[in-house]
Parts: sequence; structure tokens; C-alpha cells
Amino acid sequence: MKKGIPNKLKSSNGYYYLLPFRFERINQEKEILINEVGDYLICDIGTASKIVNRQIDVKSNFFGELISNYFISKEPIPALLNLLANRYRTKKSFIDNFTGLHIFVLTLRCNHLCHYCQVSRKNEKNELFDMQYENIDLSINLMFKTPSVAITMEFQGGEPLLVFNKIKYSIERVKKLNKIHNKKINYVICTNLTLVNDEILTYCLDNDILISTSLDGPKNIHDENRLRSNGPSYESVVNALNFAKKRIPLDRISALMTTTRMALNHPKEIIDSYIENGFNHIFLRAISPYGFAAKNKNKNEYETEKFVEFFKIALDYIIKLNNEGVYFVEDYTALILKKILTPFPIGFVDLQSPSGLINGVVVYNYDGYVYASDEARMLAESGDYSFRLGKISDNYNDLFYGEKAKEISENGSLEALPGCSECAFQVYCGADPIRNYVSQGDTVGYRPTSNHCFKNKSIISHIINLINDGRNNENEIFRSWI
Amino acid sequence: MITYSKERNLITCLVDSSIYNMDIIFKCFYWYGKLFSIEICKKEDFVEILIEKKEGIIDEVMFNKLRLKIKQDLIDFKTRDIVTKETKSVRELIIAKAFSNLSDEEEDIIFTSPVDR
Ligand code: SF4
Repeated sequence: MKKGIPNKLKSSNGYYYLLPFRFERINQEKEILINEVGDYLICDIGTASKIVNRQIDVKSNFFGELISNYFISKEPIPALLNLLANRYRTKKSFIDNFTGLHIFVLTLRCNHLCHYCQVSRKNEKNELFDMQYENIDLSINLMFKTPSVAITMEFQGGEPLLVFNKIKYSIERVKKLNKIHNKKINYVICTNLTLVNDEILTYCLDNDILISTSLDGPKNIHDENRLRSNGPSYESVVNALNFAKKRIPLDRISALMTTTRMALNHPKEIIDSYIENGFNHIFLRAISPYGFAAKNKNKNEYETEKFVEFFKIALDYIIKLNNEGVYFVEDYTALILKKILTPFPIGFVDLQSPSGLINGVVVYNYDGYVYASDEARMLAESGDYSFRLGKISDNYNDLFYGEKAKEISENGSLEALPGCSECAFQVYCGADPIRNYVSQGDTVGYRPTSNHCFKNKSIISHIINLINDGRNNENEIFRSWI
Repeated sequence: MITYSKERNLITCLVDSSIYNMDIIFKCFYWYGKLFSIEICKKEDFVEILIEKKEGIIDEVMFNKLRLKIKQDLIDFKTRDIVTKETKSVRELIIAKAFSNLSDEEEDIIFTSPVDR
């Protein structure tokens, strides 16, 4: 036998070789086998052991299934290795494109007083927390240096519409420079909507800008979470939403919710409020331990088990609505489904390995610095600059490929992390070194007590169980979401 | 062999090192670290694993559940270890081929935040 060629062992009536795959129990009876490119087979518990111990009958249909799904091979090096390598490359092709999401924090000022504000907003009058024009120009220059052909320029805050003049300035400058660079650019404004007016909406419409707003559910939940300096904000958000919907197509407006402790008891009401407001999708998002969210623990801290329970109830309800003819999508599930059911990667930076830090996203902050992600700049507001790449005025190569970038990227691959390296869900999951750092003290993290791991493992196996069970039409519904 | 000492609130697990190598043992007991403090000692031809509950006591019911789980987990991690080691070369080959010879025909992947799905 040649060195490095895997063992060929005789099965009951033939030979086969193993190909890389991982497995995990998904319930009392079933386990899932997942190969290197994310193809899966759901089988009885003990199947992986039978495969490894060459107990699979080579004349059985299952043997054929294992061969055609690249779990085993009749040859030491499968004839279709190139195809497998191509599939692997496609799954990881987000790396080739490098940074696609460029977040511009033009101000940290906000006209809201949300108790869970993860960015630690500043008073709406304090202009010291706005980005200087010079830094806007330099940030745009850095953004154009990315090798990615398609980029998203996202304006965040604080409340970015407090500096709409700077948003306009940025977009006009980008449009001008893009005549040379010729990139595909999407614009997103993340806003609480309360400052929108005709001028802003017309500009958004003319420039195909996507509006992303925050809606935490019905009035009682939204107002509990999202106060304005002059009182509750639900009415003004819904009025602004209705005003915006008259001027720009609804598919250019989306909303995000944040799950607070109060929200945990109201999954159905939250979904109903999204439907009432004309949305056909929701992103069920757990709160992150940054900024004021970490300080106001009584309203924001809960066990991840409770979030997973909330998520499952909400997903069941959404499936029921779909069965009743209401097309409605849960976005996190749809992202995971894309990873499970298609050969393609997704652009969502939290579900990538290598992690989306720098690779997928960077932040140009009002303070004149570049950060490795949105969470990195949130952390900086608490005085921790561990994920700060350097000054906006620094050289692109030093910022994006320098020592700091290397150090940050070091523990960003699930393939090399303890616990993750042999986890079957690795292909569907994502690395989150900053979350590890914040909640567990270092970027490697510790999976047995990691909330990120528990959440992803629970949600991914729940989705797989739903696909496998399929008694409520889940397969058809899920396929319509991707 | 898995035994339980009520007095010491301790589970002792003796594992034959000719069947289960240290990689398997470390990877298996890594996942017990949330609730238990784990001590792994290499002896002559076996490995001794001491499992102590971080908080509270290990009762008979818990011990019986744990015993079954440990046996099953050891088999699962041994199976994983075999797959990992037997497929190491082919895995390296897939990755090497995947990242060599990158063509220009890659599709544009548009990075999106959750808002613009
Ligand atoms: S974080 Fe958890 S679920 Fe995700 S790959 Fe790692 S071990 Fe698996």
C-alpha cells in the first residue's frame, strides 16, 4: 500500500474506502452523517459505526447511496475527487471575494433610549460622535480597495438619519468613484425610521437603497424596549413605516427584532405584528452581550435554552401559517437551510468558517478607526480595543492583512477549534471568535459552555429533525424559502 | 470499567488504552466539562478518568445515565477518530485541489447582512 493511502478493508462482500464525513445523533433513533461539502444522510443510530467497521453490504441500495453522496468510495482516491474539490471550493468561495460588507458608522448619536442598545449610543445633540468628512473619504478609498466585485455599503449608527447629509455625501462620492472601479454596490441604511421624510425616501428610491429598521413586535413589547427621549416609539415607527411603504416598494424595507426577556413569552404576537405591518419575513435574533444589553441584565439576560424554546415555538407557528397559505419566512432558518440544501455559501458573516471578521465585514467607525466587525466596535465602546485593526488613515494592506488582522483571524476556523473540529454541524455553523472572547475570555472559546454553540447546535438539529419528519409539509415550505 | 463512589461523589472510569487512544479520550471527555470536573491520568496500559460533579451530588440515577452515555460516547469518538485518521490524506487532497488553480469564473457572491436576504 502506498504511503498516505487510506486502508481498504473488506466488508461483508466487497471493499470500500472511507471519505471524510462527520456524524451526530439528532434524536433517540437517528443520526446524521454529513460529508465535507455539506451533503447529508439521516440514518439509524449506529450507522456510522457500521460504515467504519465495513459492515455495509456492498449489494445494498444504501451502499450505492453512500457512494453517490461521497461518504465512501470504491477507490482509494475517488474518481470524482475533482468534483468534490470543486464543491468544496464553491462552499468556501466567500473567501475569494474577501470583504463584502462595509459598515459605515457615521454617527453614534441616536434619538432613542433602548435599554438593550448594543452600540452604546450617545446623546442625539452631541456632534463629537460624528465621523469627519476626511475620514468618510478615506474609508471609501479603503472600501474600493477590496477585491470583492459586489459590495454592500451599510450605514449604521446610532441613528444614521441624524446625519443624512453625510449619507448623501458618501453615496454621491461612491457613485462618482465607482465610474472607475465598476463594482456592484448595494446600499443599506439601518434606521429606526422616525426621522424619515419625503426628501430621504425619494433619495432612497432613486438610489435603490435598502432600508432596514427595528420592530420588536406589538406595541407593548416594542415600547418596553425602544423608548424615545419624548416617550414610546411604536406609533411613530409604524406611522413612518406606512409613510415609507407608500413611496418605496416593500421589498426594499425590512425589519429586525431583538429578543429580550419579555419577548420570550410572546413569539406568536411578535410574528403576527410583522404580518400586520406587511412583512413576509422575520429574523429571530437573540440579544448579544454588548453595550447596554450587557449592563441592563434584568431585562436582557436569559438562558440560551429559553431562546431556543422561543425559536422553536415561533418556527412551528410560522410553519403553521405557511400551511394556511401565508408565505412567511424565518430568516435564520432560511440561511441554515441554504447551507444544508444547496451547494452554495451564504453571505451571512455569523455562519462562516473562516469567520466573517475582516473576511466578510469591516466597520469604519465615527472615531476614525477600522474594526474587524460590528461587535468589535461595540466592544470598543466599553474600552476594549482588542479587535481594532488600525486607523482609517492607515494603509489598506496593513489594516486588512497586517499583524493585527492575522492575530484576529487565528482562531476563526471551526475546522481547527476544539469541539468543532469533529462536529457534524461544522459545515452549517460559523465561527464567532469575538463572542468567545466576550463570553468566555478568549477567542478559542470552550464549546461545552458556549451559548453560541448551544444555540446553533440546537437550532440546526431542530431544522434537520423537521426536514426528516416532514409531517407538516416542512420540506416543501423550507424549499420555498431558499 | 466505570465505577461510582457515593462517599467521594466521584465516578472513576478505567479505559483500555489499546482500544481508546488519548485523542479519543480527550475529545470525548471535553464535552463533560460543563457539569463535571475531569481528571485524566495515563497509567500503564489503561487510562483513568476521574469525574467529579462541579456542583451538587451524583446520585444513583445520574450515575446509571452517565455510565451508558460514557460508553456510547467512547464508541462514537472512536468511530470519529477512525474516520478522521483514515481519511486524512484524501481530505488534504480535496482541500489542496479546491484551493489550487482558482479560476476566474467564480460567481459573484454578494455579502449581505441579515436585512437584505
Ligand atoms: S460551535 Fe458547536 S455546533 Fe457549531 S461547529 Fe462548533 S461544536 Fe458544532
